[in-house]
Amino acid sequence: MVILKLAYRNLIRAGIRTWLNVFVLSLAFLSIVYLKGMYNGMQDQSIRISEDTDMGSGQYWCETYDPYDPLSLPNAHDEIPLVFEFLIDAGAMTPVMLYQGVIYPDNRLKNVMLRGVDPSQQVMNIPSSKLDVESNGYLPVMLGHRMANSINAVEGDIFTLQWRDGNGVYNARDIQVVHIMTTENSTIDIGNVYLDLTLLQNITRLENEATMLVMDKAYSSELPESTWKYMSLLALTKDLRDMMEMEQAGGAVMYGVLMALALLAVFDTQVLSIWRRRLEMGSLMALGLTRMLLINLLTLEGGMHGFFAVVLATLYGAPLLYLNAVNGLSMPMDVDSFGMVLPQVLYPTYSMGLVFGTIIIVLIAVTITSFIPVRKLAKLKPTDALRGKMS
Amino acid sequence: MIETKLIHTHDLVKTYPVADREFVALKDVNIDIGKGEFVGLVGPSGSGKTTLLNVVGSLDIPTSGSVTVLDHNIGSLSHKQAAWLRNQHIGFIFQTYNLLPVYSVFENVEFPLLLLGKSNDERKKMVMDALDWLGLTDKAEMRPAQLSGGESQRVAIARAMVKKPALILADEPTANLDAKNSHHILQTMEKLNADLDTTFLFATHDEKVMQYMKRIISLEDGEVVKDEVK
Repeated sequence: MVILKLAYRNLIRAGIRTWLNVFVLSLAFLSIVYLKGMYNGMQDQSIRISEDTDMGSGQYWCETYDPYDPLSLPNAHDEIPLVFEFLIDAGAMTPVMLYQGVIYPDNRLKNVMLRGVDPSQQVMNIPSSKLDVESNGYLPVMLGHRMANSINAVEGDIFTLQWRDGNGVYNARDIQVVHIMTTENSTIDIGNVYLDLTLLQNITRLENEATMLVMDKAYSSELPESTWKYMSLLALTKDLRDMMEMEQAGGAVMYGVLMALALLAVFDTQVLSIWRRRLEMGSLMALGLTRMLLINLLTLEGGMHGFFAVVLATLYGAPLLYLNAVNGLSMPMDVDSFGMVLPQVLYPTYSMGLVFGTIIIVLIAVTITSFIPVRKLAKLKPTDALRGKMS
Repeated sequence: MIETKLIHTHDLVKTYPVADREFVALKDVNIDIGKGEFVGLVGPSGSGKTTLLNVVGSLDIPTSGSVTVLDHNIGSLSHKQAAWLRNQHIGFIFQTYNLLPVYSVFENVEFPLLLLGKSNDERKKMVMDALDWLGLTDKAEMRPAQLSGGESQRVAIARAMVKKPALILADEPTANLDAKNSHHILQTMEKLNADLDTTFLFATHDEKVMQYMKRIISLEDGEVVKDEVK
């Protein structure tokens, strides 16, 4: 307790030197929490958006579906197994058919993914009910706002759609854009054209077939056994999480640089402090302080920088982080081109684990940095210190 | 005849490595100092005064021979035991005062008591008594930088005596002081010696200090050349 009291007293009395270090450390600490919070928030939101608009709580894929193999897509459909019928009728899952097609907006050819969904489904948070309209003999379709922008389409526009049906016969019909939906999920938007599932099954002559079954988020019962492959949400979001982890690894370099700069300041202060206070250390030893206590005292002084930094960062950083968490960060317009699910407004996630984990890392790093220059005092002779000599 | 031996040295030798040879700082020093003595170690610079003070104060260890302080053999003490001995029984007064610059006068004097683990109330009483004894009560909240040389040395004396040690070692305590302050400081220490029976061992080559000594041990080139009781 004496050492704690002395270290606190020494540090407070050192004035501006202490507070400059503490401020730099607090900035590093806050930046790490902020950046990690942003990454966590990005990951949480992206997964939530994917879950909400596309993946549900998991999916069943027909055996021939492989999203990494575009050449397999023409055959990526199969009859929906009977075992799922009850769940589909109960609204616990909804079938989706993916099918290749070509549209000709402004007389240009554009390959698209036809996405057949049930207009009455409630599993995915997309306005599929907009497809349940009569459209003057045209096939009613829905586009995402990014897709609409890319082909310069507005509601009511008519294009020609060409496809090759299940028998290998090429067909073409005019489609009309009946609705343009706004979604944060660019992966279900760019390149996708939404149709009524039954309509898509009819025009492709693939009655009662689908590519996948999306399970409701609330579904928690036992998973039915089937030849279709079950993909959990964890498996479906693996790419996303891997990408985020890669981003975080890149971010770790930045945390390292930030921490290194702050720790360098602490290290310099410790070295300078030992150099300037050698006479004082000799006096302390003459007064009866053991070397070990002296090392503990100086290490604690350095380590307390970390503690004060956390307190200071809490004082000015907590309101800033709170505002940031409430208002979020608007993402730039071209975020859509990243090819991943990114929200328009990014809300960081500051978990207790993140904050306390960072506090512990900062405190340990500062204490080790403080100890490194101090450890040489283990060989310090009191007589040398009193003479202002450092052996 | 010394009734109670506080310090006893026997064939004390202290050498330091200088370049590729050994410099002999103390050579076969044999002295006995009893409780309550007021002793001056005198001699020119480099005669070994400070070295002897350091060894007696357990800040250093003898190269050969033995030094016993309060029945503790300095040469065989561990660092921790030596620190304990200094903390419990020895007070130091330095030429440059060596006050802790960021502490107030009160906190400087309080420091040895903190290490001794005295309670808050005990510390406060003992510090105020010491300050009162040295006429520093009104300076308690000041920092060393705000004090004159004489006042700083009085604070150093207060810090050395606050725990009422058996032995106070003073290394050139008046070297940085003018004549008036020197006499004041020496009279204070003389009074302390008389009132508390504290043993004083000075290292000095100041004539003013020597006037006050009751016993003078002269050193030359690390050897005791004269030991006289006034």
